[in-house]
Amino acid sequence: MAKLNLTRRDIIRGVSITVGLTNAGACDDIVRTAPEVAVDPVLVEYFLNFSEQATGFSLDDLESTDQATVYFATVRDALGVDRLGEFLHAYHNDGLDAVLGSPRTGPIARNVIKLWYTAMWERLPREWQSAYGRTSNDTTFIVSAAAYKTGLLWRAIGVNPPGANAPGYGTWSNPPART
Amino acid sequence: MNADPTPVTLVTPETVAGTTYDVVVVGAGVAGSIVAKQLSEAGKTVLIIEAGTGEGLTSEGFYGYVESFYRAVVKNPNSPYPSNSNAPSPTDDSNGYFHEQGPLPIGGSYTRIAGGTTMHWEGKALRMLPEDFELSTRYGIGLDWPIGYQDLEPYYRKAESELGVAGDTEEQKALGVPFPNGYVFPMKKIPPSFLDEVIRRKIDGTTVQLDGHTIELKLSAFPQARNGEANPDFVPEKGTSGKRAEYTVQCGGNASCVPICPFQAKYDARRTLASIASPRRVHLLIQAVASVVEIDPASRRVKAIQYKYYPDKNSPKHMIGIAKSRLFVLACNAVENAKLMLASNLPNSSRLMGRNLMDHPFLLTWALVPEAAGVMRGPLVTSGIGIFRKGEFRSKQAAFAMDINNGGWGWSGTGATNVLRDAVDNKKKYGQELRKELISRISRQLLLAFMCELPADSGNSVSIDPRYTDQLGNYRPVIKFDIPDYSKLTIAYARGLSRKIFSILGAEDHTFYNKSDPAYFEYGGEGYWFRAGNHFSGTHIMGKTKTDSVVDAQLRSWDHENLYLVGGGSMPAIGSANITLSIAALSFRASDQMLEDLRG
Repeated sequence: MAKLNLTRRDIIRGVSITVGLTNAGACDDIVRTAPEVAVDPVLVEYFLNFSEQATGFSLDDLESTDQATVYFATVRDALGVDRLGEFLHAYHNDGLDAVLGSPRTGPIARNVIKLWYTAMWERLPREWQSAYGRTSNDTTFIVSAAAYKTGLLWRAIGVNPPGANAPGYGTWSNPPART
Repeated sequence: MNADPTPVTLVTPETVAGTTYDVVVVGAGVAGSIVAKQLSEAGKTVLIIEAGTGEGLTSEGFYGYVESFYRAVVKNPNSPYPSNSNAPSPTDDSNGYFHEQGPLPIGGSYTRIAGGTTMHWEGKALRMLPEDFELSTRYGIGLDWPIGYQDLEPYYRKAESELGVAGDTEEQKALGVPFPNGYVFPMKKIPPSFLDEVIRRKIDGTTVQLDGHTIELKLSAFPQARNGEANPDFVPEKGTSGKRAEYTVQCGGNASCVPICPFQAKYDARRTLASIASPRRVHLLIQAVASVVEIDPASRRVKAIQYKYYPDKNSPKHMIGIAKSRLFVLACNAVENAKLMLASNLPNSSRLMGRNLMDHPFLLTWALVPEAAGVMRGPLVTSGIGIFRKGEFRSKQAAFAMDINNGGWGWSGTGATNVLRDAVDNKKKYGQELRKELISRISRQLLLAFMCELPADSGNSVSIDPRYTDQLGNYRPVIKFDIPDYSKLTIAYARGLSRKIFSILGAEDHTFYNKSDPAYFEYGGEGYWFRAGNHFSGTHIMGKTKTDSVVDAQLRSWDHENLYLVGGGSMPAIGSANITLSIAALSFRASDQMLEDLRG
């Protein structure tokens, strides 16, 4: 994928605008329709910072999946705007370890990691739902066929996503990719 | 394949009602498609009745399956294909279609859809060995076939041509498979994986003991129905799809063979349907579940097949229709064929309909090799060990074949996604630590799968019971299944062999069989569980007389002279060969006899 000379600011701004557009239903890729809500670019920035730190992949890598917008919207829809804001502010103020370690934000944090890695949002644990509530969007699903192909899991282990991006006849005889 | 490659004529129940066909075939899988093709090319009119839907008959529909696979949360063998309560497909016990009475579950999956189970199969294309046809005579075990390897050999060639097999005949000859001089497969063997070669370097030449004999381990490529490099010396068999490798896409290493090949490089029965030369002679009625075989009570000839046609797979609303012809062929797999026959209240003079159900139980063993060896690339299996398919030990214990699984531990339940979940949720890994963990725990995965022979036993069966039906009111299969000591002894031996191989490789053995698994059993003081091979067979065996078999050597029913039962159900023994190639060969052979019958 061609790398543009985008700054962090460009990326965050780009995602915020697209999520905003998503509210108007412009993006076909979203599985569930987003509620009408103003998108705070600060939250998007926190989301991308969190994702970079928690997944171990650079912002450029995350951006190259083309799923940042969709994932932000997915998490927002699954949690509700308030819980999402809480989570991202907690991350920004208290840091990654605190957020991973707390029963309130830990499961959310881990879900976001898994989302980037597998394009799958997993329904939050029952204990979390009992304590903090649940929305109708909090079920287990893969965000889209396109997202599946960008899952970081495959990149992490140096293989193509099963069923997609076939590397070519005979390539399985070569030594594995360096990861 | 081109866009919209289906040169059969899709019809409605109205058309079927107004037509008398030469042949009615139940099931649009590999067996039914081959029969339809052979008969139509000899000038006969054919109706195929298919229980499932037919989205895959168009390119757009097929890509819909691929997309469904990408979006499936659980990527099981039927995950690309629409769930259909009007024609449910068993999917590894997840939907309760089978009623399993035990003592062990047969489990497994097949796919009731246009194209059949070849949509999701792995693609191995193995011939049975000559000895496999004489299990009882040679070893005093199970049943003999009424024909020998040489009777089926010309039809194996037709099947290899039709399916487009990639393999090495010299390697197979060394393993005991006879071929005519100079014969080669349509395509060269699929290149072994890097993982295969890592293993080969360490274990080829190692000796092991079996039944007092010393055996040298040796890896070989599995012949498979997967597009590779065309073999310039190959001569296509007359009347088959022939040189497909020239026109279709090579395997690209999608690594998703089960459950779908996005490149369509793996053979599936739609390819046979697409190659039918006289499409107007072949009618295909999809979404029609055959429910009764109607006979004339005096002659016992089949008059018609009654079916339930559902316009919408999401609704049980259906209409009853009947399909008439001179000759009838059941080709909906061993379980569904037997179920349909039993549901029809027919004489069943041999009392063997549904009995002698077989499958190949698989023992899975898994480990972590010292260094990443390129797992999760390429076809699911490229190489394995074929030397245990033959030998005098077969008088005491089952033959078997070993796969090196290129796909890692997924089959045993700890695939890449499970490892990720465990790493994130349980081990609380994140960032660079997470990435390192994934590489350590996925990239080093090695799974060895051992496919064991199971002899015929009339106690293993498919039957029906009015308490167990689906939403159309058709019966669900009631299964009785057990694994004899003859096979358990081999399962135990295979476990020992896996330990030896892991030890030579310096691999960390992680194999563990949980007692709570429905397929768990104990043998010789150790516990194991097995997984289904999905090679459902034996439920309407062929034989020499009407008292000891259901069909004759031509697959024609002893009870009903214009009825053929093709597919794995007719096989009285399955050796250690995945059954699809034999099913295809038998379908070609039976088609010859059907044409004779239609001439008379």
